Amino acid sequence: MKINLQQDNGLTTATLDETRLDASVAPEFKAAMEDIISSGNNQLILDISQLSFMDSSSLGAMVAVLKQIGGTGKMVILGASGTVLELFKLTRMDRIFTLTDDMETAKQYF
Amino acid sequence: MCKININSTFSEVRHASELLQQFCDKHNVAFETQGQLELMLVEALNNVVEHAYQKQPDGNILIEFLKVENTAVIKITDEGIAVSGTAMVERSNLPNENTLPEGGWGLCLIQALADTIEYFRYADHNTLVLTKSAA
Repeated sequence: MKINLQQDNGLTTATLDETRLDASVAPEFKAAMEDIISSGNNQLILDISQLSFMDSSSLGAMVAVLKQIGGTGKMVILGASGTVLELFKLTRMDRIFTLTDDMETAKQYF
Repeated sequence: MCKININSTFSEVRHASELLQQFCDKHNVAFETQGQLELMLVEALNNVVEHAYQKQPDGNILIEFLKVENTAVIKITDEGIAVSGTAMVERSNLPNENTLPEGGWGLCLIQALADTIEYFRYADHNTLVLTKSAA
């Protein structure tokens, strides 16, 4: 699981360097993100623009990450497109996650 | 037609996805439809791994892809525990998003994306047939 981190004035951008997120790697993704948040990165842009496929078990892992961030932190999902975006919409989780396809817009949420 | 046998593990599900991509490329299935077919397939196979075989890794799953005129057909056969009642084909309710669910979407996604769903229970196996227009 490759997740590249970039920090700028207290805002962390975690770029998922994978094209596919499914049940075979969802636990690894969840654990990696939990480590990132535990290290104090709770103002977070999660860039998933490289993902071409994601299943519902991975969406569940993202919900767990969102819960860990809690009320004091914030997470914005950047770059969901195609079937990945459709997954958020079909499950109505686009109402729960903050989704954007533009980095400047993502930064304005913080 | 294209077919593959996999074991009941999530990593093997990925092999089935790869084969579906090759099948779609060969039959010129539109990119958007290809993604939807893949999500249907993966959600259905995840259900087989998780529920039919209870995550036991040595279960056998036969997957067949075919295209009949403008319709893509995905046929999945397993020898695990059958889905109870008519849950597979009856419209399922989405989990309430406000409760921050971490699962429970699989069947809803299959039902939202597939044009038709048929589920057959035999004495020693179960077969799920999903179709979707792939014009």
